[in-house]
Amino acid sequence: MAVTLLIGISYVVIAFTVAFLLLYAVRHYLLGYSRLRIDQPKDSMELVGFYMPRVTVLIPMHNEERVAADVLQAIVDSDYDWEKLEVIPVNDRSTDKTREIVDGYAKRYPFIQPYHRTDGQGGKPAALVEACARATGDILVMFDADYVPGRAVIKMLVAPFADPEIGASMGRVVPHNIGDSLLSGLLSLERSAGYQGVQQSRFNLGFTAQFGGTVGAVRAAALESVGGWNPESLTEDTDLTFALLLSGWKTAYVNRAECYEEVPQSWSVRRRQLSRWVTGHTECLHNYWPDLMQSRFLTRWEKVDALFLLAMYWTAPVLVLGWVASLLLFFIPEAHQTPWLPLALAFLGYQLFANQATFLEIGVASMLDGTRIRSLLLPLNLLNFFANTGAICNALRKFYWNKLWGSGGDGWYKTHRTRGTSGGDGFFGGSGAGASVTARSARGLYHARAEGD
Amino acid sequence: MRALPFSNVRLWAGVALALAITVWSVFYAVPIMEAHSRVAAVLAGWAGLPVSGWAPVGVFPGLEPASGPVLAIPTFSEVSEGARLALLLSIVGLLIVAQRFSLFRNVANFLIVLLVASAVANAVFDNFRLESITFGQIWLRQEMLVWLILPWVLLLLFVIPQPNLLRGLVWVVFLQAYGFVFSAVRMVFVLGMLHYTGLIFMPPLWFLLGTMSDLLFVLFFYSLSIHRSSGELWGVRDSWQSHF
Repeated sequence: MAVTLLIGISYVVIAFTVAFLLLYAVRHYLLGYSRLRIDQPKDSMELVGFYMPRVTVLIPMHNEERVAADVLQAIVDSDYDWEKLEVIPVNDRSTDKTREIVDGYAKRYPFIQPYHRTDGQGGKPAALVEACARATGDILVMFDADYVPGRAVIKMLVAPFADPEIGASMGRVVPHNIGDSLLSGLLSLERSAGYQGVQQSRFNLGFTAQFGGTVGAVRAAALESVGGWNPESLTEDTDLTFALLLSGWKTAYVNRAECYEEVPQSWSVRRRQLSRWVTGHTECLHNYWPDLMQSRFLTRWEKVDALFLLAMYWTAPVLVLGWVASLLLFFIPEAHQTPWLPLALAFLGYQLFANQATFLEIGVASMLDGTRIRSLLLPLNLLNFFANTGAICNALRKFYWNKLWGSGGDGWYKTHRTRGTSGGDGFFGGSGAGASVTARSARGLYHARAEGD
Repeated sequence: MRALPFSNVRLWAGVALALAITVWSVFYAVPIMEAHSRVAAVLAGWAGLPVSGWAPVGVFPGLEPASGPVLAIPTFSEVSEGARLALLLSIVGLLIVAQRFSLFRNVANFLIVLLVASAVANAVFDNFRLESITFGQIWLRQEMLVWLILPWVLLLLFVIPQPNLLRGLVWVVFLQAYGFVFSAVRMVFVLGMLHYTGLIFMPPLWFLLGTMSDLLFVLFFYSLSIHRSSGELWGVRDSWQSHF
């Protein structure tokens, strides 16, 4: 009796796993195909340079001596009118030389007005809340300290705001350290699929792009209308995406607004980064899904898309549940006698095939980017997928455990920077070299890249 | 703007080929499975496996039986000391991999769980056994379903979203044939392991060499096709970043 029950439960779990993952597979295929075939995506490039409101650039920093000069130099080199530009590096209680670097730039460039935090709640969201109160721009542009924006990125991020319905815009994140480790190479493929593929595809289809505070902009009035940043959130950008969406604001995606980032080079850093994303994202799911389903601003398909986006990390534990169920069936000899065992295994096998869908997205993005050598790493992404599954399950376990028992949960974790650790001269060979590199970036953005995405 | 608009020719040519392969696989399921068994028999002979024969085994209701291998598979108490030592060494080896190679950590940990669960189940239930015929039956059922699904997956990956139609169609035929031969190779390898080590290694073998292998070989060839298409369609997007 007990064995029969166990077999029954296992089949139900496998059926649920197959159905749940199949929905995501269909979504991946649809997004991949739609990105590949649409040659006139939604784009605001024609407005670049014609709409130039007052802008405040916010750069949260905590012990960023390795990277602070590069990002500040890149912004100084940007082609945005300095008269309409205000830059606030938010030095959040750094104990290294971040303060000296920032103050050095502030002395040379009057539009750089640093804000040094010495107390208060820690973490990026809390720092942003305080910095935004000082900002005078109509549009707030945000970069992470390890990001290097190209010359025209600010203009590109600002252009969509000519549309009064746009509350936020998001640029494309491109890893620059792709050759430094196997992990960074694999993550660069993931990023390509995520931005060149999924973000652009979702924006083309009229779904809201996911705002990212690493290279994004938000309308000050829109931010105020939703009550500002959520300082309690570990992913304040995802939180803002849905807060804006529920208030009727749209988020634009600007694929050509490329910003260069440093992806994690070690798995321990990657795991902690992923853990923070999972926790923050899942918190958003719990906070927003009831309101999303009832929102009068969203179509049915936008609601479905938003739900898919918010629940995406659940795919990992569901997959593991399916594995456990099939393992149980394997060890129950009674299950071997029923013709359903191979069928169940075949369904799981089909799910493995369905998981090709995520690789289709990577393939599509690789083709669009013209990635050649790196595309050969694609099969290794399966291992990356296993590693992610473990990290996500662990993060979700902690999240729900903390939710159940009310303990603190994960706190803010600053991603470890490695720039300059190998050569000693920094990514740009020191900030003095930054100008030439960002100038090369700008050439790419203005000319060769004009038909490049 | 870079894009690859679909063409009706590419779509319908791909669908026609996938449909043809599927229909052919359904109508000739028994001869295909028989051919698979014959290839496996030849490979088993080359490997020196003492297969005593291939007996009829019903794979799907309503179909004539195919052939399954007849080979002794020992229970846990019957396996040699060497096999038990191999189990221990495998667990130790996987622990080392899990410690030293982060990329493989989760896979290695999962395999360790499978091995330990298998060892416990085999030790506690000594009557836990799998006949080689049953193994052949399960394998053929699974792979037959894979061969039915495969052309459609290949259509979605190699034909519709890629620029060269003819090459896409060749990929589909080649990979379908490759999947068939690769299945026979894997089946013989697992049979050999079953014969010499019993059921101890069966769960991890099933995990690694079952549908996971089908996924992996498709992924491997997909990466090659993307590599080729990327260079053919457009140049690398100009970027100041160093290329990997």
